[in-house]
Amino acid sequence: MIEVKNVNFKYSSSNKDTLSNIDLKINKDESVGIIGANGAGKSTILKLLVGLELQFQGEILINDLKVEKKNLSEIRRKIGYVFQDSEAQLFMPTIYEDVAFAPKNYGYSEEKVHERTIKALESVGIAELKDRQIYRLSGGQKKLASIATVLSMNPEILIFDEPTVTLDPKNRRRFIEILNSLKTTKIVTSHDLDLIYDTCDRTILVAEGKIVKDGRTEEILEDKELLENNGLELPLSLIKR
Amino acid sequence: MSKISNAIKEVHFIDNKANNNKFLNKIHPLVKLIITIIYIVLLTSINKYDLITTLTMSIYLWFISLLGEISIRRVIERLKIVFLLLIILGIANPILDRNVIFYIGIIPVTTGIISMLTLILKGFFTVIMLIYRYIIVFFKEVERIWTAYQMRAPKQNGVNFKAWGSMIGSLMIRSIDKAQMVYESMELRGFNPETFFVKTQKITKRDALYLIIGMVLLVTIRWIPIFELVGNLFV
Repeated sequence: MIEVKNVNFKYSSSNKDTLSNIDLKINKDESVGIIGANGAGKSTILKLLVGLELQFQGEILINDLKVEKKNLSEIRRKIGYVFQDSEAQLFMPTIYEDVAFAPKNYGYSEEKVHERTIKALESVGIAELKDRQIYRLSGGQKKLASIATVLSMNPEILIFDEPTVTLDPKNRRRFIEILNSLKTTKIVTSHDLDLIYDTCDRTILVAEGKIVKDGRTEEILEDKELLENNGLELPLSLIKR
Repeated sequence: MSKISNAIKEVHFIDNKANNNKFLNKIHPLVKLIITIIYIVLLTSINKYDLITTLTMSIYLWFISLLGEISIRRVIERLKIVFLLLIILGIANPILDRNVIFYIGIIPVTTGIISMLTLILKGFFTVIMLIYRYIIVFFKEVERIWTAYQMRAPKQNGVNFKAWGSMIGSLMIRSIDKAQMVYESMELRGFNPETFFVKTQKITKRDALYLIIGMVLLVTIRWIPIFELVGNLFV
């Protein structure tokens, strides 16, 4: 379970709070979408959960472990974070080496590393590309490889930051199928409200660093006025033509 | 722009070579590092007038290029800029150091010319050993900025000097940003510089043999005048 208790945060380069009074609980195996306009604070919430930013006020607990320096290794073992920019996520020469990076770092035996790597690649359907060099991949393949790099850690929680930004419709559909097939706690931030509609049971609307609404996805994404007041629009699939 | 693209392709060529499954790729990295350091130390220890020994040291590079299946011609072609730089660095030697050693026809060959040639060769061989493969990240950023510039300055031949400052600044900031993101991605997947896994490759008999052969070869070409001995066979 994830618990965020009265968290306030501001970047050192900023004068005002990026996040204010954030309180939320995310239960095991929940699929939660975090939506909001540009600069609302969605990605910052994710960064705080994995301890990429530690200078916050309040308390964050991941499965009862407090997010602080001494617990980071254990917390990051539980959370798989898929970046918006796959180019930044993939840094090893081949897909296989990149996917094997985490299990190797966590000290698994060679056999176990291989087993986890192949399983992760198979679960996103790119096992046949395992020896391909990263620079030879298309945008969609890079995204799938990025997901495999975190799946090889067998994380209890998966976090996706704007996952469909660089995907074409076919790869987007494939990504949604993969996301729905993963039975674990999932947090997705996105402007792609149709993606949230298709993958998340619960949605949190963020604006100017505050939680404006937290509830069932349908309830929030079908509220045109609420969305428009917070810089968003109805999902395309809900607009009557 | 094609120059940047070619540079990226060239680094990918090196990347492909690094991923091969040939003999040289299987040698333990530590062994290759030791041999490389020994090579550089021996090369830089050569007297500045000793052109023959400096040239003899190229035997090791030839040996390595054979094992790695890399064309020497291709390497020389790619390093012509380095040659130019080394010539500029060594150009003062013939002017300042004018003791004549011998004549080729009526042209005097001075100690300055010999030391300049030695310096050029030393620098060239050292650079070959120190090519850094992750320069590609930097090249890609340069390519993106250059493309963005060209799209908005199609009639401009080269980059206007007024834009250089902001372009270099932007390049630096973007490279740092990218490096930061890559580092975060590593950290989130268990990377800890203090306990970073060294590839669990054990040193084998093959590695030990390569180390011994490499060291014997280096010591031989450094201290035994091979070219002179071969030359004497024909006198």
